[in-house]
Amino acid sequence: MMTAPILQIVWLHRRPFFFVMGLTFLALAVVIFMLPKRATVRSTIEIGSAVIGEKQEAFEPPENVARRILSVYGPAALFATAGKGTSPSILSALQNPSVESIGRTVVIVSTIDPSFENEAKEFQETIADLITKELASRTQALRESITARISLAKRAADNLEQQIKADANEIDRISALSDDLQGQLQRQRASLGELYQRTGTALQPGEGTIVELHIREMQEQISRQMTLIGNLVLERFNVTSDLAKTRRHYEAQGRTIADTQFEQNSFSETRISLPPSSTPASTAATSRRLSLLLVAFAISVLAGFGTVVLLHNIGVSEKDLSVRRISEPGFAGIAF
Amino acid sequence: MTDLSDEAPQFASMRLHVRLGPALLIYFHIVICCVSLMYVAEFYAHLQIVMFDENRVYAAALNIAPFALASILFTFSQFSFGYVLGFYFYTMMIGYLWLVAFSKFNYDHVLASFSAFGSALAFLVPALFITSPVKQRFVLSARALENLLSFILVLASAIIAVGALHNFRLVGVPDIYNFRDELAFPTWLGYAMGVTSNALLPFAFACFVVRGDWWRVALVLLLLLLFYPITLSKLALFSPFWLLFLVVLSKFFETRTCVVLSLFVPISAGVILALLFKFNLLSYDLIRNYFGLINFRMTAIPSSALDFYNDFFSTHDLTYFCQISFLKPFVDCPYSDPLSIVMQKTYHLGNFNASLFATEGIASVGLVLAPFSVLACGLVIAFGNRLSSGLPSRFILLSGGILPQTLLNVPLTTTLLTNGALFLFLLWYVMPRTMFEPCQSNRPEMDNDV
Repeated sequence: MMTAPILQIVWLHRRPFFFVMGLTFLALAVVIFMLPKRATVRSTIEIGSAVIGEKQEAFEPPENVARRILSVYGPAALFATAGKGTSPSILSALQNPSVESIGRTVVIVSTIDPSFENEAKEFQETIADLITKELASRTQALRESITARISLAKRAADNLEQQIKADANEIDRISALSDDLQGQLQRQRASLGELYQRTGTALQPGEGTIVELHIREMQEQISRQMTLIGNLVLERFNVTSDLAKTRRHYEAQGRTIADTQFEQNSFSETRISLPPSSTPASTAATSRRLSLLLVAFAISVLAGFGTVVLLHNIGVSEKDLSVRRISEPGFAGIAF
Repeated sequence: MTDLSDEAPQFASMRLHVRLGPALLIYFHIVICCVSLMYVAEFYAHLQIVMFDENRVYAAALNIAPFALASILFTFSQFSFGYVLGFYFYTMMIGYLWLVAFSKFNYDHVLASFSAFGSALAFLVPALFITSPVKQRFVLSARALENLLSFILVLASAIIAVGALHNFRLVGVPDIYNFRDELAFPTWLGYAMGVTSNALLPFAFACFVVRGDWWRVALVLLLLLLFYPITLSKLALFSPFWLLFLVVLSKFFETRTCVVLSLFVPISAGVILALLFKFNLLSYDLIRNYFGLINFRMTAIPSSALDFYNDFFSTHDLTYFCQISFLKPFVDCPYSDPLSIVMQKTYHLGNFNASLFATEGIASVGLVLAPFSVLACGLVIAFGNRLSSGLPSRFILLSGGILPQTLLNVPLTTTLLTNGALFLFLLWYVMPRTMFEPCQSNRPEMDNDV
């Protein structure tokens, strides 16, 4: 097997190569420069978004909006434009805008004759209006939900704050009562001590019975006071524990309010981020022409090269086919 | 590489008389591929696989034009197995460079286009130009070859019989998907059927065609056809007709032209049918099966697979070849399922296998390194070229006729083992070249057409 020497073969047929290549390029260049000028009208729509979970997410996936532009909003906008008496040729030029989604942005591009620029802008504005209107109700519902959540959380926080104050007051009251009872208890214990001392001294007949009665009463009072103080301690423990719980709830509500307020602040409406605007026809045309000239150059090289191959194979096939017919009857050896 | 370095004047003069491969035909082919993709985008718009937007035709043309210049490689290279495969991949890449301009996905299209271009060149250069022969240390005798061919026929019959015990359903193409999930063959039988239908039977077919043994040719075609009710695969149904089509083409045209025509003719026929439908001369029902099989499934899907793999791996972990089963124990794999299942779960378009460009390239090493990985695959194919060197072009075309279709949709590593490409390379190596000598002795041309 063998590879053909590319440069040698092309060099052998250099004249037809350059002739065909030049001629093809010239013809294509003439066609390219005669192509009608095109203007590009572009607009971008930022789809409204909010923080959902921990992510900023669009209300509607932009890819869906882009698809709906082609199948729903576009035809509707075209219908609205047609209703204003726009000519069918303009409608036909507008009917296939290029739409793509980049992040949360949807880009609409209409490539049209420069004289249709105003209609194209109007068409894209109509599409943008349709999208903002459709997404507005969802935006409104979400906004109301956020406001309601904030108000509910604030109300709950206020209640909890009041509860905290009430619990703190209750603890203070119990502490004061407990201190008071402790004082009374100490006094009662002192009196009891005195009564015990009296029983040790010589008492009048009948006085011993009265002192013993007093001692029993005093002991019962002390016992009741101690039970009361024990209950108060338990009560204070319960109220303190409730207070800690209420404070935790209060802090959680505070965080909820902060999060919801962050949601409210990071909330963005669906809006037209770039109103329909046209790329100057001359800039677009120059860039398009340059790309087309590059394509034309590639086609010209291929045309020149194709000619070389054709000429070369014709030259070779005269000898080659005669030998092949001898060795393989029926083989035509056709190559383009 | 071939003999460009040779300075002998006589040899240089001979090289100047080498017939060049098709050029104009490839240009028409490129145009018809783009037109076909426009119709695919229109007829299959609901699937959103191939898109089209007339405002971006310039961008698509700008993508295609530099790659069209690469078609010159096919004109100056001689026929080889790499030529067939290279041209099929070239067509797939033309399709990708066209449809990437309209892609709905948001990955880096410019980088992907450059990577695709680089990968295609990295594959084509070794696959087209490394063709020097490997010294044959073992050659089958004429009798051994005869025995081998008989053995292939017996083996294929036995495998079909065993396969039929597991599944045998005569159903229409649209209904095969209802039963495919129920198919469960033992692993050994799966390998045996893959190797037999993709490599052994086409090899036997080519031998019988070259010898003019038409009864056995018919028998091979029948055996190939019998794989359809067992495997319920479109390729199994398609294979006998495809091989016959290649026989007819190779009867009338030079082999390299045959390769181009093997895609150009069916795709053009699909485009003509689409045009007839557009002019209301045919109903869509009449063209749907043909257009769907050739222009959509055979041509557009391998190209769009690159688009899907590019999109998926722009946001997911690369595999670093962990999809290859014997490498799995050595490489940490982010995917427990095979890639085709991963793609099905993501895009819901069926088990989406793809060519070596997508799997060994994009999925394994990413866009930047893909050309190097594909270069390695090109070198494997070049090795196949070297093993088949000295065999007649028509024989290589027919015996390897099914593998390019497989390789468009299946990774190279899978094709080498599961689909029997390695067996075919081995058979090419041991094939006695003397069998073809009477045909070649009178051929002054440097290529090896029969």
